[in-house]
Amino acid sequence: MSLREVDHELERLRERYREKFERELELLAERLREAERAGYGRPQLEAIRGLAHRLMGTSGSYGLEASSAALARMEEGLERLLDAAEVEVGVAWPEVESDLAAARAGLKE
Amino acid sequence: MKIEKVMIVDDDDDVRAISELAARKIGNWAVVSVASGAEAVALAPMERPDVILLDVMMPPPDGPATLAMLRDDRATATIPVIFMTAMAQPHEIESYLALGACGVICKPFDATALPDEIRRILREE
Repeated sequence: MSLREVDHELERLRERYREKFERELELLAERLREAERAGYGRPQLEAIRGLAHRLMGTSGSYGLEASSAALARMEEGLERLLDAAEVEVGVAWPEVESDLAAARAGLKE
Repeated sequence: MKIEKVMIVDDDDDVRAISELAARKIGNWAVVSVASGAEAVALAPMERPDVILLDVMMPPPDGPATLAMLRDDRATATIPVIFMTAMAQPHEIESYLALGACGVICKPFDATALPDEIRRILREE
């Protein structure tokens, strides 16, 4: 297979993934809303961190670097929330939401 | 070391898809792709891949547990295993190498460079 054919095949995979990734970000947004409703419980935050972690690795491997970087920041923010009692949800949560917005914006780049 | 066949073990379909493409079309290798550690342990003795790319975070058995099972089987004990992970702080990489992996590839990775990265790790082994 020529390099051009490999590029074409990679682009086809990336296009398919972008559609899926958009849906995954919707799921992530829904999980954030659920966590808010549940009072930012540990199980909810851990589930979101796990999803952000997976999406960070996969989106970056598909060339969505800005989205991947935003998800890495989200994961770090969630870790701080989970690991350090002194971090206030009221301060950290807007950053988490902002990271989600940045991950979505990365899809348009 | 000449690579002819690679086994990819990852529960994420999308990671498998892009890794497979890189291995087949850029590396020109045969690929066996599975979604779990259990499948890897069952198939590796028959498939005898030259190298196994093994995701760390998977539903049980996770990557380290899968590596331990591969090492316990005489048929797969010496197959080089490269961990793939987004958890790649220096102390984590050290712990994976201490478990017997010959290298670690960090996610996200550049698919077009993946075969060269695998070759580099195996050369340094």
